[in-house]
Amino acid sequence: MTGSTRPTVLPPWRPTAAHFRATLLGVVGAVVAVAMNRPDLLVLITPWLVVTTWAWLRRPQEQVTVSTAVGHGTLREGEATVLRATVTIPDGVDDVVVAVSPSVFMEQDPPLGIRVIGLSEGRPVGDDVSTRRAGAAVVVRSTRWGARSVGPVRCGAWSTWGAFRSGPVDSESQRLVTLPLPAVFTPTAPMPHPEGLVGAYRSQRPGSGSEFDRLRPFQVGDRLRRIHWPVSLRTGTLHVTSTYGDEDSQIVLVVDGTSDLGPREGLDGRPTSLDLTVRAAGAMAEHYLGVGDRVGLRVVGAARVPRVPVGSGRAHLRRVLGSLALIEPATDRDDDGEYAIAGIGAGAVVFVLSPLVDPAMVDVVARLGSRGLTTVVVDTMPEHLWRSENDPYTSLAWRLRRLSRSVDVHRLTSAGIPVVPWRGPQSLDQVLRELTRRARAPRMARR
Amino acid sequence: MSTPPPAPARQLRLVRLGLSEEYGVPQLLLGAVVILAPVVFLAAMILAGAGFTWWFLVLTPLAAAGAARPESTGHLVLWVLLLVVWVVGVPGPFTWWSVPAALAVAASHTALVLLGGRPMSGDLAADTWPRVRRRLGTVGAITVGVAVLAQLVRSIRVPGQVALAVMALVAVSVWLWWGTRQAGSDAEPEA
Repeated sequence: MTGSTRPTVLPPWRPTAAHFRATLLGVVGAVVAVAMNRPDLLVLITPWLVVTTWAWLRRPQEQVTVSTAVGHGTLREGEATVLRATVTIPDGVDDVVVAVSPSVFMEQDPPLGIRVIGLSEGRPVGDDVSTRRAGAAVVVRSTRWGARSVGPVRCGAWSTWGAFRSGPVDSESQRLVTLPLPAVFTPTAPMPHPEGLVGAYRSQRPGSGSEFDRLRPFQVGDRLRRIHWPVSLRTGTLHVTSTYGDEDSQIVLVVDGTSDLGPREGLDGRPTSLDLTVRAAGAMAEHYLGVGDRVGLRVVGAARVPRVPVGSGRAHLRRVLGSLALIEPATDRDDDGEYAIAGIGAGAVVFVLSPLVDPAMVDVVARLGSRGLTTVVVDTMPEHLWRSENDPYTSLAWRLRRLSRSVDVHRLTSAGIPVVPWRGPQSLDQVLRELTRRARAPRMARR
Repeated sequence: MSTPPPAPARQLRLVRLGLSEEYGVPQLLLGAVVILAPVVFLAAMILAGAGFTWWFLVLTPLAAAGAARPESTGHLVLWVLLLVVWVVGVPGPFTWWSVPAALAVAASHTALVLLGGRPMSGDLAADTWPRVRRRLGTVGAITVGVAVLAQLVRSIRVPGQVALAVMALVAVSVWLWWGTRQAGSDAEPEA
């Protein structure tokens, strides 16, 4: 369990309306029965008198405490964890009701998040048999990426015969970060600018790699294990096997957090533009970090999302996904993207993931291209936004928007910046091959 | 990092009565008990000799309306009315029909207690029904005992019979308290 809250002590016990009603009817009824000499009335009010007396004798002397803990502080979309409430039940308590308030993009089991704990479910606490401890678990399943709260957990307790009540009170909410579930991304094309010392891409230069280059005469400094003995014996001079070096790439993901288009339906529904953006960025980060590249993340238009410098490894993937989960769209309207794209290394390949709706993002892409950086725009505009639209006016609005977008796209492609719609596993293969080919040719850049 | 996704959450069937909250099945059953208890009470009253059949038409809808809000004072008003009607309509001083009427009172109070303050939907605790059965049995037994005592005292024509019955009730309460003390903190008083 992580993130256990401090125990919340429920307020003092107070009589309920039922107890007041039973006491009043019982006592007044008894007086009237005696005054009017009506034994049948006495029989009628006997249940109220018995219940009142019983409840009074068994009233709790101590207060209930509740603490909550969530099983996992971080989830992937579609995964579930358990929100567990632990309550101490003093003697004389019948039921403790624990209810988890519904949260957006959180499914609960039981569906309403309500658990009622009876005294019999409790276990004695140490040697004190008068106080028991019991737990109630509510399964919560997150259906959309993001950082949000679960709860608060509302807790109330009822004494014997429901005569006294404590609470309900709300305990602290639990913070739960849901990492995006990356889409499938399995490109087969090489990266245009491999650099560095280790990685998955073949270098242009010979080096200590694994891909065969040629057989050449031995030179001072060659490793002895590289000597190719059959050729050396046949030619009479020592020959070695030469290989190409291995290199990795530096990849910078620039994510458009300026807008989120479409209805938010979570993992099981249709994606919004930001859903596509975040899941595509997650997929690319997962793939490239998996093959040994270095990946950085910059977000435009969303406040409180730190820049993630380039790095590698599984821990870095966790950092990238965690930052993606923090994106709240359009929380920084003044962001022109300059801070995000500042300091990107010359050899980096920049992937801009954007639906290209905000003019600021188009400018950001144009600036990246003008600086000579290899830039690819991944278009994350979901097509269902206009395909399923039946309203003629909304359709017209979308048509105008798409015309405007096509002008922007044309402007970028004219400047040599490819714009590729996100289509899943091998969306970028073609464009990466072309960029690799282009990278070998001389070029000019405006600086 | 986390548990695998669970099976799809089970569907919960809820019923909404007019503008009320959504009710779960156990709460609907308890609401039915709250509504039916005055009907049983009135039926017992008529069988005991009262001629107020038209009260059915007035009090039953009142009970139905009150069931939606178990902590409202409507229930107090309803039961005061029912007791007044009983005292006025049923020829005294004693009838055995007061026993089923008292059991209806106990059932109504128990149902109201289970409904009051708790969420109107969701399951009850696992031990709720056995506990309720045990307690209603205890209350019913005490009620029958009081009725037998009242009838006994009336038949032997002791002066101040009702006062004696009240004293007997107090004695039962003291016995309950003593039983609770003896049984320790876990046990509940037995009849």
